[in-house]
Amino acid sequence: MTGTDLTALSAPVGGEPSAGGGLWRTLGQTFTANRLAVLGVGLIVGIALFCFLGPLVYHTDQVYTNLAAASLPPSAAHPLGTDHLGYDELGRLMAGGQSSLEVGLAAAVMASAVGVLWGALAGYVGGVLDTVMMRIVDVVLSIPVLFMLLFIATIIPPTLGTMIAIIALFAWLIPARLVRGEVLSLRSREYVQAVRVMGGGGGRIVLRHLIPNAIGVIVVQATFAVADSILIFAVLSYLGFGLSAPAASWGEMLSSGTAYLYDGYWWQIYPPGVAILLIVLAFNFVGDALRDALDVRLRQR
Amino acid sequence: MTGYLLRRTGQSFMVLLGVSVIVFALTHLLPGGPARAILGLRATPAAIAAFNHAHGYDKPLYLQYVSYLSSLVRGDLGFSYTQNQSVAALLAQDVPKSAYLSLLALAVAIIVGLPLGIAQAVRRNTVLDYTVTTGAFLGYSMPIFWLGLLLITWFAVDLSVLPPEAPQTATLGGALADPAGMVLPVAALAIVSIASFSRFMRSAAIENLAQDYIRTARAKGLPERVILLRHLLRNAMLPIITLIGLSIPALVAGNLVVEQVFNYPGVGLLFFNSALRRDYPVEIALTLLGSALVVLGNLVADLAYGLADPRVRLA
Amino acid sequence: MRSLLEVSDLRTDIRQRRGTVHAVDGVSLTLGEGQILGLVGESGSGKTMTGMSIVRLLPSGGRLVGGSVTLAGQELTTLDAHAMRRVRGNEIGVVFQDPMTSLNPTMTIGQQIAESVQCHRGVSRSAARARAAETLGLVGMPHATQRLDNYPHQLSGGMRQRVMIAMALACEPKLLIADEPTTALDATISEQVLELLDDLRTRLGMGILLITHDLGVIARYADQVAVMYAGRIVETGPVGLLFRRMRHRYTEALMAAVPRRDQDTGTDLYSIPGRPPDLSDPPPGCRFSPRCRFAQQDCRTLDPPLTIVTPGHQHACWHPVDYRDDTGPTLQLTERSARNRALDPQIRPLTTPLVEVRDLVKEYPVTAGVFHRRAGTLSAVAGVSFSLAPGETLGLVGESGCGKSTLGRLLVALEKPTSGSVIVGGQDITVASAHELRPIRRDLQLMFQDPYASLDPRMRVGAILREPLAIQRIGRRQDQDRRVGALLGQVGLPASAAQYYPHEFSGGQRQRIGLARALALEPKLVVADEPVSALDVSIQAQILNLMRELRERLGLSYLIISHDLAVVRYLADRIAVMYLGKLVEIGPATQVSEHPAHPYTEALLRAVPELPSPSGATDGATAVGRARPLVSGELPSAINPPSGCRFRTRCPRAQPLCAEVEPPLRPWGPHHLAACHFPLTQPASGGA
Repeated sequence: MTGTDLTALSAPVGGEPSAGGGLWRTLGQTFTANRLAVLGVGLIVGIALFCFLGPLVYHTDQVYTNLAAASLPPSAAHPLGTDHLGYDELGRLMAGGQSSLEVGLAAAVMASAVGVLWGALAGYVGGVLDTVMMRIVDVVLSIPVLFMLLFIATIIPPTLGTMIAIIALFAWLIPARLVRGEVLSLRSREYVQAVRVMGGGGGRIVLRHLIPNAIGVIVVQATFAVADSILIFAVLSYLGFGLSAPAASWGEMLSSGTAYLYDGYWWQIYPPGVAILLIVLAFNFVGDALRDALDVRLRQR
Repeated sequence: MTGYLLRRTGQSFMVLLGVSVIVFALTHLLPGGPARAILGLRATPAAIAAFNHAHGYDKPLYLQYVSYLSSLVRGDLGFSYTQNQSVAALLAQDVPKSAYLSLLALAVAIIVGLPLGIAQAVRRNTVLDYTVTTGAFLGYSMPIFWLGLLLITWFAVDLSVLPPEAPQTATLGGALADPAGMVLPVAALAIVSIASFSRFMRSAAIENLAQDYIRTARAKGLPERVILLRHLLRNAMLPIITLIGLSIPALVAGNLVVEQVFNYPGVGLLFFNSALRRDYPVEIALTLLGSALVVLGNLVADLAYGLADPRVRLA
Repeated sequence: MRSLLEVSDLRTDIRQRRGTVHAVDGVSLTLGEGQILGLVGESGSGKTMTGMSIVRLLPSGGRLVGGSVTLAGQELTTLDAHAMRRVRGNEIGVVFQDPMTSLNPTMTIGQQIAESVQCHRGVSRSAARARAAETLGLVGMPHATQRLDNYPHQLSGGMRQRVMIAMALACEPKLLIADEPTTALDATISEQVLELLDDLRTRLGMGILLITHDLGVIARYADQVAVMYAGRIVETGPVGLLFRRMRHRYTEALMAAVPRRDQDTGTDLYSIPGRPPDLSDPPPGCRFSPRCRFAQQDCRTLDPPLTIVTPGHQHACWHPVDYRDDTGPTLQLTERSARNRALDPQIRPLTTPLVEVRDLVKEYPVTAGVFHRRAGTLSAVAGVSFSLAPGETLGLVGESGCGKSTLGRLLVALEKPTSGSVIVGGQDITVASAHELRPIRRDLQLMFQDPYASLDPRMRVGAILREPLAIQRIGRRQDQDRRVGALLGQVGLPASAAQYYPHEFSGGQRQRIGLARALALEPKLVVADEPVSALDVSIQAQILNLMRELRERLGLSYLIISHDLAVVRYLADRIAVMYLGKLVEIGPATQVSEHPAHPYTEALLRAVPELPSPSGATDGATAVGRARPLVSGELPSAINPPSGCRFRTRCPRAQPLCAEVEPPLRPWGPHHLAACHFPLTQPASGGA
């Protein structure tokens, strides 16, 4: 055998790539192979359908109270009974779910957006700006969130919008820290250095390389942030600092049920609690599976 | 290590200073400022002006901040007009009771959570692992107030084996004298932490079990028990120290909710009631206190980590 | 010689999600007392798994499925877990590759050595500690007793590996399994550790199973050698015989793929096409047949059995190397048209240099204390000057931390130097603005070491190769796509590769892509930082050949940065040797490698074990440069480098003068410079 001839170089002596697939495809395969992830997605879709399409099928009055029908046990007319003001529990569960999902998703998206920008800026620029920005995160992060939220909730009148804003106000810190760390580590990767050697500028590095590579971490974080925001919203509502009546929320439903703990009104305690548990569980399942899928990709080297 | 200690302590101090700035700013963000907050919504403009002058709120902001800081340093946390007591006195009464509840819950969480996590890592992908994992998922997806309500329903209402309320007492002694009353609040608070501790310990232990030095220990012919206790535990505990430090904010928040659910007269309930009554001086002082606790917790955790890890200790 | 270890027909499976990998598939070995058996193979050949199967330290999912292992007459495979535990650490010691991760970071080294003594001997704590001190002394640890209370992170890499060895020896095992014991270490340190192992087996009379990918190490230290490929032994025999009269076609190809000292740089390295088979579904017949240039029909269907050539020399090949006509291996390497040495030392000075480096200095501040006050300066590059002619290849060698990578980064303007200049095309790039640099960057490209980290995992290969063109705004989209296709062809990849993501390629293929990216802008100089050190020997040869070919076709200059002298010598026209930020010697490749002037250059050359020439020019394997290591001790810190000559603390020829006066780089011969007061050779022209 002679040495590789120059003219023969057009023949691919390096061999073919192995079968595989795009990153999203491998990621998708790992994700769908995880049964909990599929269960989580199923739960989220199911609960969303129940909350937003349910009221179109199952009509109830969630505005006017009907004390004559207060705290009725489950029956044909009220499959989950009624609460102390006579609202139908099943219908209220749907209405409360809407606000929970809306607050959770919107707060998580807002917080992630702010956190990503903050963290990416601090991590990419570095130096004094990084120190200052991260010290701010440290300071705000050391204030107990619930104290701060209750405090602010007493100042600002609660609406859906303010609820989202004040929950997001404290939810951007963790994503900011995480994205900064990710950007710091990505910034020194060899492929980023390669771009600098080619003469590529900061904009290209951030947009084409850092953000696409950090997106996985961001998505995972955002998923967990939805779960956390829903929980925080439930706590605020339960403590009586949530939306004002007649707006419904699962936390508020539990709060009013608490007064009848000794009366055995189980239909006022279990359904909203189970609803919160399921939706938070679902987002945690999805977040966990996404993180595992990303890890698998990293391990495949 | 001394250099590290000084630097880390200095950092914590700076963070606390930052917190005090935010809290100070909040009092001025209140509608109508501190005077309106303290005197109430119906106060006349003249009364507000008089109050502002008397308390120096008409001076430049930086001077106000300096005097706020100096009063903090003197231990003057403000005055609760709704309870007609100094905030410091209120805290002196309630802090020990909350500390008792939280520390008890933390201890239970550590004692139960960490061994569970290690057992899961060692018996990975067994029924035990799956069961605990399921429990952990449920634990940290569960709203803590609902968990409290369920515990009350099951153990106090249905079974009547435990009191539904925490000890109603003004002193720590009273709480100590009623262990049965503490069971449900401690359980509610601990279960959530057990979930996250066991989960974290599991992954730390799995990661360490895959390390080369564990293989080295096996190659030495050490018994598996020695490998777990001497090699694995020591290394896997390092990240757990940090985790415990980081879990303090969650513990403080959980404390507030649990005290409200079980009507336990600690600082959490104090904060809740103050928030209902718009008793801002108490809210502000407690926020500051909570932050100090978080900062201190992180500092202690970091220093403990430094002591436990020779790579930091001898650096 | 009594037989110590007998392995016969050993089989190990590893169950994974995708299927069962037959990692060890019928391996038989024999190791005598006081002997070193070298087990050599490329990554994935099953050599480590064979070693781990003997001590039964298998990864999860791993299981012995057949065969037997006897140690001094005792069968090990049938022992229960408890009895096996008594064998590990007691009768068999194990040394692993990476001493940093293999030691427990939270325990003192004394505790770690003593615990195995306590466990197996049942002695008291203080007796175990005394034994630990004794063993540490045995492995040449200075101040052994004081060192007992150190933690692993307080020791250097070489010292940590000595601790690993002490741990393995603490209970005086009969057998030591050393799995790539020096792969993580620098050349001079690696030599010290191997010499130690060699010395210990003689003194303690134990057998050593030396698992390595490095044929040179085997040639210098082993008595017997077994070559593994795809889970099987393909050839085994005494070292001297096997290296000169190898029979298996894989052994032959493997040896031909390693660049040698006496190799004419005008010849291609023999490169084995393709890559090793997937062991969960190995090919039928001879497992090497799909990559073998001599394979015939029978090879692809029938499994070749081990055939005895002479007692002790066996191979498993249907068409082995034939020595009947005594012409040696039939695998002849074609002479390329001798490299057009435009770089002939006599002519070169006439051309203007492509790059000129003048007094380049790079220092990093070291901070400490509460206020991050400046505690010192790490001197990474300390006044380096040289020039590079168009079309010339300069090899830059040195141990880790000598500043060679920093120098490479300075050359492509990835970092700004502390002082000094780098002149490219008449312009000093160290003072150029980002805007001015942009067009210059086309001429200076960088090729990275790690084929996994150097390609953006989120981009398809097409986009990766198009990026430099897009940045420099070269051509329209269609032109760029055409250029991508051409680049892929140049590096031997199909045009369809543009559609795939980096993770779908093997390490060698990725390195081809990295090279293609570096070539996209048609640079004049490519700085290649350890371009092949992450690759296996057979893949390494493919890349080296490719780099050499492209240089000739495109008239490139290379700066090859490597710790591996053989690689540098194969590609370079000139070699520069760095030590602690200083250039100690630079000159024509043959001159530097055959008549080094600086003691450090000689030490580096001698530390790297060479393969004996297959033609039998040297008699016996162990005859190659076998002497006491020339350099003792460890690399000093670059934070406070030694005064005068930086090498003096480790130099066998150092005199008081060396500490006082720094030797200047002075001319030695044509284009040969060195910096030494007491050199090995005198300057040719008496110019000193």
